[in-house]
Amino acid sequence: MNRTEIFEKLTEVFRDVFDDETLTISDATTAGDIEDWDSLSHITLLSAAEDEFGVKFDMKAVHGLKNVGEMVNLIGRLV
Amino acid sequence: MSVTSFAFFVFFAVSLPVYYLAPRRFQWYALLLFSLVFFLSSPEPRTIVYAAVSILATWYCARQFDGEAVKSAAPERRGVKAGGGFARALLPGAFSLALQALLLWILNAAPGDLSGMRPVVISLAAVLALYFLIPSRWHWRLAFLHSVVFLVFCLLRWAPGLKGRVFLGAGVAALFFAAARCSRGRGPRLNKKAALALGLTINLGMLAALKYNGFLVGNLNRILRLSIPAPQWAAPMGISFYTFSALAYLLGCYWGDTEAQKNPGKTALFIGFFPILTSGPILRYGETGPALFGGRRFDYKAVTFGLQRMLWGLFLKLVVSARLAVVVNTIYGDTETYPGFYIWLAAALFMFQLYTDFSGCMEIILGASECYGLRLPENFRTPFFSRSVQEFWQRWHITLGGWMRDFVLYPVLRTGLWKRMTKWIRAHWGKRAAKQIPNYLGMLCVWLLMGLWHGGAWKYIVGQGLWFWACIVLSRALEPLFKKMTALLRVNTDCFSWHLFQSLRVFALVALGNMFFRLDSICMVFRTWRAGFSYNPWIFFDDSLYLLGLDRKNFTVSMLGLAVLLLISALQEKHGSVRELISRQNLPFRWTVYIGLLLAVVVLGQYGPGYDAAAFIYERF
Repeated sequence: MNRTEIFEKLTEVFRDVFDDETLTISDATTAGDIEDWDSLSHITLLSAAEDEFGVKFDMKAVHGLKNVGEMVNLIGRLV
Repeated sequence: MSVTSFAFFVFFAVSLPVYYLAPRRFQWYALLLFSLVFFLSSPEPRTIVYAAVSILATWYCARQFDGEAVKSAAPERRGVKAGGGFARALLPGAFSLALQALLLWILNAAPGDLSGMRPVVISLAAVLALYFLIPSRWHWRLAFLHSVVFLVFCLLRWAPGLKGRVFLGAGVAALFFAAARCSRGRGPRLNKKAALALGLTINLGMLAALKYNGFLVGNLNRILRLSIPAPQWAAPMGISFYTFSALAYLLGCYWGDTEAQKNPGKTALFIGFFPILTSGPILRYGETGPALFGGRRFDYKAVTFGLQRMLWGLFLKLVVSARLAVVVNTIYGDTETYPGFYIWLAAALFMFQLYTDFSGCMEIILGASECYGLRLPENFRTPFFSRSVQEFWQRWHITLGGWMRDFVLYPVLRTGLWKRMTKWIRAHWGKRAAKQIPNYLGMLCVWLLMGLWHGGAWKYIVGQGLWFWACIVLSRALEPLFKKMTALLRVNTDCFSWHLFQSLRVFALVALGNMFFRLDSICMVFRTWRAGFSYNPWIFFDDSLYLLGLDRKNFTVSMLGLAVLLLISALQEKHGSVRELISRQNLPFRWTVYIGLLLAVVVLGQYGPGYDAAAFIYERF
């Protein structure tokens, strides 16, 4: 799966988790850019991404992801 | 020793030049020595042994996660086995013996009197004989065991008094020295999960046994109708703070966030760094550990900024908090005499008392650390400007909240059980419920632990746990309804008055929860709430407030102190660091502020009878 495909699928995950069909994400998107992205929705988001891509993030990834770009790279390595 | 005591400032004044005069690569040894002295100065110096066990267990278990370290230790292990490391293997025991002999000679034995030396001579002879008799791969075990025996011997024989403190310190030093040598020799290796289980069990077991024994035994007795007496063990100073730092380090190493520290002395410095033993903050190894060991050149700005911060902390504690405590104690001490608005005044003033006490202590701790060139994590960020209870807890005791998020909430929400529960709820109750209910249940775990962290009593679990959980969950669940209501009523939610209303609402909710913290029991809180429904607003206008233990002058000083605090908080909220702001002003203004603050602390600080300037609310946590 290439980066563009991951981005497309991940955008759908974000829209579903944050209930916003107009939401767009980029490599630089962080929790500060999305109003509802707090510590609780962070876990909901990761779980939804895990289900979508059929991967499992370890706790290091849960604590360490800084932005969407890092999440995409991590998914790219795991799928 | 308390960070507002005279002894602490003498200790600080001596330790700071020693630290900067030491060569940079030895500075961390100086910090470790200061931490040892700080521990031994506590009223119960033997508690250092509990801390030492916790630190050594954490260090050892974390080392088991480090595969590379195990591999790299192999050549040295072979060296020891081949016999080349005999002297090295002998070192811990020799160090321990030398310390015993030296200290006994200095402190105990008069010239020619060897009676106090007998156990040392016997142990020396026994250990030396054993060294020659046992295979070299057992040497590290013997050295370690000898250190432990020495420590127990010190504990039993010389625990109280100055001599006991010196021996305890020497015993702990010998133990760590032995551990450092052992780490290079052959030792048992555990698999990752066993090491994690061992580290967690020792740390949490000691926390439960030393801090929560009364709560656990009391509830066990109540449930099973038994009458087991609760043990009267003294909890080490700051046990919650250093245990949580240790657990963060252990779990960080387990998850691969942090590299395990090879040196037990450095691990001891990170977990037992003396300023945090009073009231935190809870440290993360990745943020603070490397800075502790790196050494620092004298930096005029860091030292002066640190001293300014300490002065501000003293102002908060000695000028504001100590006075507010008198009023709060008077009202809560006799709610029949002081009902109605007195109660709500006490609830509001206790909020400020708690804040000025805890944040004042934190300013002194962070200021002292800054003087050593070390920036510890902030624990407060102007919490009274919060617009929701959730935001309040992101600005109040930040390091505890962050710890609970990373080491309780995230792991709980990531368990298989929670994932299965989420899927079940989505299938049966829909997507919206699946997004909320599992999260709220995860938060319940966090808030129950938050309550328990504050103390082993149900009042903490209810008032500092369940109350705030309910506030946060209700506000999140009802958020759509509130949005509709404000839209329907055409309320402008983006203006000062609305923000003020939100902050006052948060203040009231937190003040209600903190009544559980301050009052003796849950029943007492309900009785006090009931007493609060008397109508007596005239107390604010007829000088009644000056009969609550503070005369007019002192009451005015405390209110002015609060006004200064709120002004500084507003400046921090708007501009960030107020010290940076002041440092950019002209010299006369700067020094007027510094000297004014110093005079306020010296002249208006409360040290006399009726005040307990040395005690901090959070220091026994």
